Amino acid sequence: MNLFEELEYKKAELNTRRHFLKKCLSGMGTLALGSLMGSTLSSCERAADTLGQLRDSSNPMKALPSHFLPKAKRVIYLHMAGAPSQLELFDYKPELQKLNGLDCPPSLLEGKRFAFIQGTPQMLGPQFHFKQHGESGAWISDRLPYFSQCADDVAFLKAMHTDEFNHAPAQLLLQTGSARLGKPSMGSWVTYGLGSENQNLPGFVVLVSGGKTPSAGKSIWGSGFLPTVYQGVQCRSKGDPVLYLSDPKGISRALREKSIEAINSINKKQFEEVGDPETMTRISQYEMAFKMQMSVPETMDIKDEPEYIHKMYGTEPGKSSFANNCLLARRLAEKGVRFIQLYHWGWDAHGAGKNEALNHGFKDRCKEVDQPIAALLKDLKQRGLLEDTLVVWGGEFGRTPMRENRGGKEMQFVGRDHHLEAFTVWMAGGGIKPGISYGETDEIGYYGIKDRVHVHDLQATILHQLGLNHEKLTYHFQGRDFRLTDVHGHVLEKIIA
Amino acid sequence: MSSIKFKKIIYFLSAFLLLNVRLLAQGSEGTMEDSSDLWLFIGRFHPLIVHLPIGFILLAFLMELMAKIPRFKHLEQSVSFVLSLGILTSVGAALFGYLLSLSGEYQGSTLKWHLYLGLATLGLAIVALVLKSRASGTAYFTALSASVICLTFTGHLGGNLTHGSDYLVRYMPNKLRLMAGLPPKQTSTAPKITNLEEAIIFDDFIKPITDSKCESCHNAEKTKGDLRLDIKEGFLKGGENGPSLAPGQPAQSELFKRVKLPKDHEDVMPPDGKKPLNGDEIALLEWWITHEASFDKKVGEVEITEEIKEILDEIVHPKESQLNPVYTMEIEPLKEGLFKKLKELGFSASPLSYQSPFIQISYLNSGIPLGKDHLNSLKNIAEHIAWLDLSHAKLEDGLSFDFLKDFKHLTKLHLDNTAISDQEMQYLSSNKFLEYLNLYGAAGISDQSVNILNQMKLLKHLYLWQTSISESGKSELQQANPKLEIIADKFLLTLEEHDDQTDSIANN
Repeated sequence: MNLFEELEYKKAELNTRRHFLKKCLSGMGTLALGSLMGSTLSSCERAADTLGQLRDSSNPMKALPSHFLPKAKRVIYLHMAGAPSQLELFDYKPELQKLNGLDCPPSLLEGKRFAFIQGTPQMLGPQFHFKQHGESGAWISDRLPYFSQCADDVAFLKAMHTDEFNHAPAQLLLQTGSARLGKPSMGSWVTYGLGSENQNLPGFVVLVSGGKTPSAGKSIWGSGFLPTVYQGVQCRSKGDPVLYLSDPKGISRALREKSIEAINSINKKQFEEVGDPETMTRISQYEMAFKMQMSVPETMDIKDEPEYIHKMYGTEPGKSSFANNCLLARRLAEKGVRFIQLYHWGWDAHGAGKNEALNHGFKDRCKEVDQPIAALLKDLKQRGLLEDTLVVWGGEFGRTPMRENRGGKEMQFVGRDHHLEAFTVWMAGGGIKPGISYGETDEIGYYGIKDRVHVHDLQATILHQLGLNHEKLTYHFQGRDFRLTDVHGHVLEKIIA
Repeated sequence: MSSIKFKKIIYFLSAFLLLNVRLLAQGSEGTMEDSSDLWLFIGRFHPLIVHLPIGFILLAFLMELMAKIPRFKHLEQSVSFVLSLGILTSVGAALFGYLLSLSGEYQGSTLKWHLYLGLATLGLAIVALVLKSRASGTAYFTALSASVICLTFTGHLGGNLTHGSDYLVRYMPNKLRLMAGLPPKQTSTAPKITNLEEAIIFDDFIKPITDSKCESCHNAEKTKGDLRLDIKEGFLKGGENGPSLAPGQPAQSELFKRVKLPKDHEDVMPPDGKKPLNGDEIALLEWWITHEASFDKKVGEVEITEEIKEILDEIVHPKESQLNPVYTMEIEPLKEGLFKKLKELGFSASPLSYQSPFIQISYLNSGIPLGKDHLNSLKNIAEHIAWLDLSHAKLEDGLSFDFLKDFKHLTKLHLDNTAISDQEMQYLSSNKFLEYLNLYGAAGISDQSVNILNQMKLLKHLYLWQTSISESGKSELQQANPKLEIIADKFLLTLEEHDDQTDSIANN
């Protein structure tokens, strides 16, 4: 229990009968005024109250109503950790091709900071061929032949920008709204705001592929100052889906149930004595873990999927891969999981080594994600799930139109440095206009010149689609109300269907 | 308090007030400034100083009332002092107010009545003060009360002059409006535009913008900058800075220049603190002026860019008007008992939002087939359910989907991967509001259901993959409802022209 909560409880203990009566009286006054003005609580809010639909610490994951009518009920966020190059995938810049190999003019470098570029780098043209796809005519490079078939299902945000040019802070800013550690992640905010439809599965599931956790570590699915029950639960597609979930050797499920019951009854006594909500969190986590022992392995086992589905996604049961995670994402969406977060590592194409070169590692990454992502979109669509599932794809920042010259020298492989001024994110389903492109970058893709979108705007829009007002979804901590978008964020009305 | 001391204070205050005016008047001598500027400068202190007489006279009244309680008897002695202050500051307020009115920015009967009632307040306060010293109890109190009443009305009219005549009551709750004899709040004032081509640009698109963002300061009663934007003539005539419009040249039009100025610019309109025009409104204004700023041209008569088209469409068909009628319906919210039962049976249930009395139900958690208990508890609240998700649900033997006939307000229904049959589909015939229907994997659905599906006029999304509906059935559905999106085929991903050999462009 933290210090501030402790103070709150001390204060509550010291509250006397006199305080209580005084509060009641002023409360009555407000109540009378409220009924006269017909405002404060709307009739439906009051109804939600009587239906027991307001927050209840003993049942932290119960489904809660949203602020207004939602378009989406859940989110699948495909985070490409390491930040893929927008100039090799979606932001087609023929002008940059003409400048290929020329020295970067000083005007582009003055006052800028880069992670690795030193001295005068050379401009680097797009490394792959581009073509227009679908009725919307979206430009997509030949690295994504499967995804190109979904061009009319997605909305591209071409002029995204962020404040951070290093992976960990940029990932934190994108996923928690702050570049510093300690804030709750987007998935935590969403499950805190809406609870979960399925009490047998976690409301916020994290699936990681690419052989490494994202640079910012597990804190990007942490719950920060929110009760820990809202943190992301990492599931694995190989071995035990959730670590330490299965019964230890020699302990039967019945015995496990009994021991959990005993622990929980002790915890309940503790709660009655101390009143710390974290105790309730612990109780519900034990209960959920027990239920998850059955439901998680069942959901996470993709063996029973028909052959054509495996073919569509390119999945191999039992392996750990992005493809498997995409298929799992669909299965979790079907089961009503609120926030499904995928991380695929390895997009940091500086050109410092073969695996991080645009013409090698980057190509492999594209291959790993192209087919599964297209399959996920199509599969959600044919099942009628894309309507109320918001799919978001993107990295934490973009890449420079200049070739990286680490140490001021030409490098063996081709790559680009981190770039915070321009990158592409796309969204699909969940009430977003399909087949549109929003925002523009300049001729070389260096800077957004029209309809720029900050990561806080993206967060505000994601919450909006879930029926949440990003300015109202707050949590009181250390003396002030916190929110995902801090004091920023504008909903992108133009991309909402 | 001795009366000599008291008089001294009053003299001192009056001298101070006059001195101020003298000093300012002197300050402007010898410069080229127009003396009317100075009067206006002083006049603009009116809104500041009016609050003093309001406070003092009300305080005097309050003290008089309180003094009737023995415990507060002592307040009586100070009433004269406070009332005098009220009179003194009233004189100042009236004077400043008069100077402000000389600017001509405020006109009409509201101004006239504001002036008369203000003077009446002052006069009655003086009468009260005189009567007080003559110790004529009832007459004194009557005069004071009358002064307070005049004060209230004067203040209200003054507020109307500054903020617009409906400022105070615009957001008044309907209950109170009814008590005050006002008509209920209007939800949408703009008449519906049925044919975009025939809509008049100025009346239908420009006037609503200027009405909401400009009119409150540029009207007959309050005419800032000598510009009126409540009537067409005002647009044409312009204001003290010359004409407001240069037809065909937005960049030369004062009206457009002012709204385009950066937020922190001194001359930006609407001024700091008022709600600025948004991007769409500015774009419309520019479009209108570019096309000669005509007052009677129709949309169909001028050139339209893609961007303007989008903005106009949004105004003509606002997103809210496309909303399913269920979402704006009002029904009595549910009682708690019924709700609890649902959860015990393994349903997930919650209101659609904090603003809606309707609820969403899903049955995801349990592999247990739906029994009589389940169906009955659903039926009990059938009219409250707008979204029902029975995806993959099984029914206990002997039960059928006939319970669906009670659900009159469904807008979204998942029956995918259920055993529903064509016959049972008929139970959906009483449903008028369905806009999303998912039947994928319900193999029992065949062309016999096409008729019932055709009757669902609001249906927008229909999922028929893995059903037994034939191609001709689908095309019949599509014909009957061209806007309907039918997703019926298994999506396959194919690789056609991708050739790994032509990978990268030869520049490295």
